[in-house]
Amino acid sequence: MVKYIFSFLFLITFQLAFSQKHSISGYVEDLMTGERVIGANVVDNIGKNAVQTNNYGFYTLRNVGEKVAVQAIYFGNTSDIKELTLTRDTLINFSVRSVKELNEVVVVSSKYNNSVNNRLGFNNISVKQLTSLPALGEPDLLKSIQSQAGIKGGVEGSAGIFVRGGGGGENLFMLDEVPIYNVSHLYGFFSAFNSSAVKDIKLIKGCFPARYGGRASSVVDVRSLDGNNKSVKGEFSLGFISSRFTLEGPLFNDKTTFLISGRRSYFDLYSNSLKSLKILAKDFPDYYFYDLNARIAHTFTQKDKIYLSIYKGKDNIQNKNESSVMTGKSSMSTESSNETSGWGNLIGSFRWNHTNGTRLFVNTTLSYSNYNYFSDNNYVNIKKDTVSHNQSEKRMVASYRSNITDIMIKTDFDYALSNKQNLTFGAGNTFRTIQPGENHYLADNQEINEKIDTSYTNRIIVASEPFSYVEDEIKATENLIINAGLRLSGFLSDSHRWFNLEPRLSANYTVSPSLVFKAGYSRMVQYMHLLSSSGVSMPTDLWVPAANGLLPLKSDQINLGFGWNWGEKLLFSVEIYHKWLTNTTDIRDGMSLITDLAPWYDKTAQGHGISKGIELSVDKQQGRWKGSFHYTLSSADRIYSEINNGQSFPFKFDRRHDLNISVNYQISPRWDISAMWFFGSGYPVTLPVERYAPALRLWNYDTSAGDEIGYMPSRNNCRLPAYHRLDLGIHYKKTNRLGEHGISFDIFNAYNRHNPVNAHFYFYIPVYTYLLPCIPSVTYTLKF
Amino acid sequence: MQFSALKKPINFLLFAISLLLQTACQLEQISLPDTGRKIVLNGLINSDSLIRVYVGKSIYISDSDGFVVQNLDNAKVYIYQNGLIIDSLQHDFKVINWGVFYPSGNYYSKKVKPLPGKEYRIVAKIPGLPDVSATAILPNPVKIEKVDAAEIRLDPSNEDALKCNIKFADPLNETNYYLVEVFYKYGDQITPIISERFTCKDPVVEEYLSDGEIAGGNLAGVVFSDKVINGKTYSLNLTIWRNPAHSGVGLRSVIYFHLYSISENYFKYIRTLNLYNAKFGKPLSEPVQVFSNITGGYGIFAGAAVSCDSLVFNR
Repeated sequence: MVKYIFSFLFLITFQLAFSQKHSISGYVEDLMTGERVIGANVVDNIGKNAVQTNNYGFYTLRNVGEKVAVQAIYFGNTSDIKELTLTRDTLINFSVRSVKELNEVVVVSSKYNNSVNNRLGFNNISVKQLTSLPALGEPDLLKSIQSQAGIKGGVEGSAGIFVRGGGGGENLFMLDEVPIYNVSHLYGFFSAFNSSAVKDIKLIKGCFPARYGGRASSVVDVRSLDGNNKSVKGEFSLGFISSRFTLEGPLFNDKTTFLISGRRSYFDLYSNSLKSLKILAKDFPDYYFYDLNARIAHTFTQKDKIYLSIYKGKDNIQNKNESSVMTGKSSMSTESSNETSGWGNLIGSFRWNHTNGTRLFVNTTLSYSNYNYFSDNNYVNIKKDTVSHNQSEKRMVASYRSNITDIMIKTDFDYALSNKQNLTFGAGNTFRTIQPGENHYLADNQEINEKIDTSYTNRIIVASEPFSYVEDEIKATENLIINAGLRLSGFLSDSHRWFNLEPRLSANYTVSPSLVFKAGYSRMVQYMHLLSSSGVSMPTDLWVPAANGLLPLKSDQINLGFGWNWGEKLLFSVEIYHKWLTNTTDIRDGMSLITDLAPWYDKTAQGHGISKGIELSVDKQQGRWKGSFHYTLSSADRIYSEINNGQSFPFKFDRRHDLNISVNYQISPRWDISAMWFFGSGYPVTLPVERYAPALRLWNYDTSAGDEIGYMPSRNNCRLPAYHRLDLGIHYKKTNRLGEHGISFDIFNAYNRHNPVNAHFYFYIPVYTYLLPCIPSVTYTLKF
Repeated sequence: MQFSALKKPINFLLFAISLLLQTACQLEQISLPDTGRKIVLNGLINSDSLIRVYVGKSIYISDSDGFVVQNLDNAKVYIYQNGLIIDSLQHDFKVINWGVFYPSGNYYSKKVKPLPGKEYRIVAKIPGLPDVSATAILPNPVKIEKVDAAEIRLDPSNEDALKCNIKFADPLNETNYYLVEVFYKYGDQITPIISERFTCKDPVVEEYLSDGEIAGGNLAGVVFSDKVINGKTYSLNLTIWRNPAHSGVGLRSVIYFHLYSISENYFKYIRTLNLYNAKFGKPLSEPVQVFSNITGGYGIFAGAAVSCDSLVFNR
């Protein structure tokens, strides 16, 4: 069967490749900034052909006649029509106004409005939409992703997303094609992506193209701005918790652009004032995060452009204490402690875009990505005799570190065989160094002359993850578009060698211009596992490779659905998915990643996961009233032979009903208001429901347990109360000679719902903890 | 702009932040479903004693007034062998709620002392509660071949102690589990070796029986499997800190060594119970489900076969 499919594809390829006439290719750029536009349509009004720009704004329109009338269209904005008589292959660049600059989107014909044609599982998240919805302090990419159908956001205070029953570590976050391991600040309240520096966001949760791999459940492809090549522009924003700035413009000439964008929280700067006013407890920790994006892009010729990008982000939490007491007439004891922990990413990339003729676009990427987590605890007790000045010191140090570094090189080719067929292929390798956790303890007690210096270190693992892929998008008939692909991936370490083939297939069948039926299948293989204590996604989670008994994670997903554009106003989308996860990883009963000193592979168990669901989306993105409705009905279960007596149990982030409704109303060109409401049925938790006497009283002094047993029928046997929250926002903007001033007033959790974070017992009464009450915030933004 | 003009916004900001922080991490009550009570049956039977089991009932998790040892005195408890009832257990009002074996059994047999290699089934019935049943097979005993002891002086405490080796041959081609307990007889009284007198740092040991109530958190027994000694003759090392040879004058004292062959269920129970206690209330650890083999209820019914040896000290 596979043989016939590939023969069929080859014949179509052959026929289409040799029946073409002339080609037009080039870039579509933003009229105001020179920024290359992703996903714009280039249309030949005479030949009635249309193609879309790729991730670098490049297009190829092939097989056109001698006379063409071409223009670029992007979300209803059109470039000038260029009428030409062609005698050979020609390079044409277009300038189009980007939607980001508009107050209101113009209605556009559905023929070139590609939302309804989006492949199953694809979501394009508008950067403008980020700023038009209520936010906690500032627009946030992760929060916006969490509001999409099929995506769950974990609990407040934990990072990450959970896509279609997948785990927190099964999502490939890419910033300018470089994988980024930790995407959150402040335990998930802010994402690591600074929205001021973002150009385009794609979320893929099924029917994955073959160019993506390495994670089992989703891809979040974030592209940052190249930098304005017309003039120096900037943005400054002062918020409740953090502030940010962005500066971009041409450097020396319009061929070279720069962009620098930074953000920092400042709670640590005023926490001392709060402590001195006794509003905060003395031992309340100081916290800050920052991130910095810098980029230089240089266009050598129409054919060559390079990008150099750097991202650095860090979270730091510190708690310092010192106290002295007189312990006798002449002896003083001084205790000081300093607990610091933090996590951060450092990524850098060099990319080179090259076009060869009008057909072939080549992108080569060399990148570096590092994620590290550290925790240091220092305790010093000095006993000093104030008369004799003799002193003794007791010092204890406990530290923990984990680290992962990737160096990746890859080349992607985009080859336009015709207007009806596009071939994408490429290969690359990631060289990876993994340090999965190191504990170090130092105790130095001068009083009894005792010194202990011990390290428990997991072996550093060096591995490589090569891949190659080919992907063919064919417009087989006027109504049928097929995307077929195959990815070969591998993982090579000194002890293991894995190779896997990952087939991908999706098809869109257009019944009418406003109704498209879709189907697809994809297999994804993941060679890195994210181990998470208690299932909550935290910076302490540990990335470990498929080694020491752990097998690679595989996901197989089938999807069915349709998109319906109703009266050019509402876009309906329905998707059904069924996903099988093989070799999911979980922590064994009673194990903890950090506090248990056993190696990580002794703390884990592997099993299977099954998830299924139906997602319904309704979007209205035109007119003064805009809004969206996303509902998901789903279930996600796990089965492990070593957990829960081999019985199936609900996944930690299984949520039966998930609903998100958002609306935005443009009152006037200056004012708009927005509201967003979330509802999700409660996440499962493991809680005992009865108590009984043990046969053996094995008392544990550490936990004061041993007199009774709490009976839990199964893992994740109970459900937390439902999560719901209303966020409100009102935005005002005004332009004067300084630039565009904007003020946003937002209320997070407007009706002060106490949303559950976790559950435990408090004197035999089951209780849940909640974190975030109603929080108002004001943000001032100046764009110049 | 004067700094004083900023005071009001700053005060508002401080107020808002403090409101956020002060209200963070608050608690709300959850209601858990009450699915009714069940019978608790705990019976660790062994080949040197008549059968004795504890029969009680569970309590609702939020029942803060209820003591967890809920004895039931109206149960019908039957012991089966090969499908036939071999005894109906008698109720005993003397339930002792302390000790490693906690609580001690409130139902006992007057005649059935379990035999190694045999399977026993227990059924308990109480009006108003679902019936419970369980099966236990007593393993065959593994004989203590030899016990050696040497007097040593411990560093740095400078205390006298006995270093003992318990030698036994693990049967080949079968999985075996062991429990070792040490008792001390001084005069007419037999007591467990307690009060920091018994330590075992042998590498084969996987679990410890440690009772805080009677031993101040010290050792009452050690448990291990044969995963690294399968089919081998092995000498288990342990240290008894109180050297009975030096205690008292003119009295005879005896140290008894018990090597129990325990069933896999017994081993699983000890392992999961220890883990449950160690992880109790720790938010970053996955909760532990304690092993139970009682159908229709909670608890453990498992068996052990004992082999004994002793050291006698005469003064």
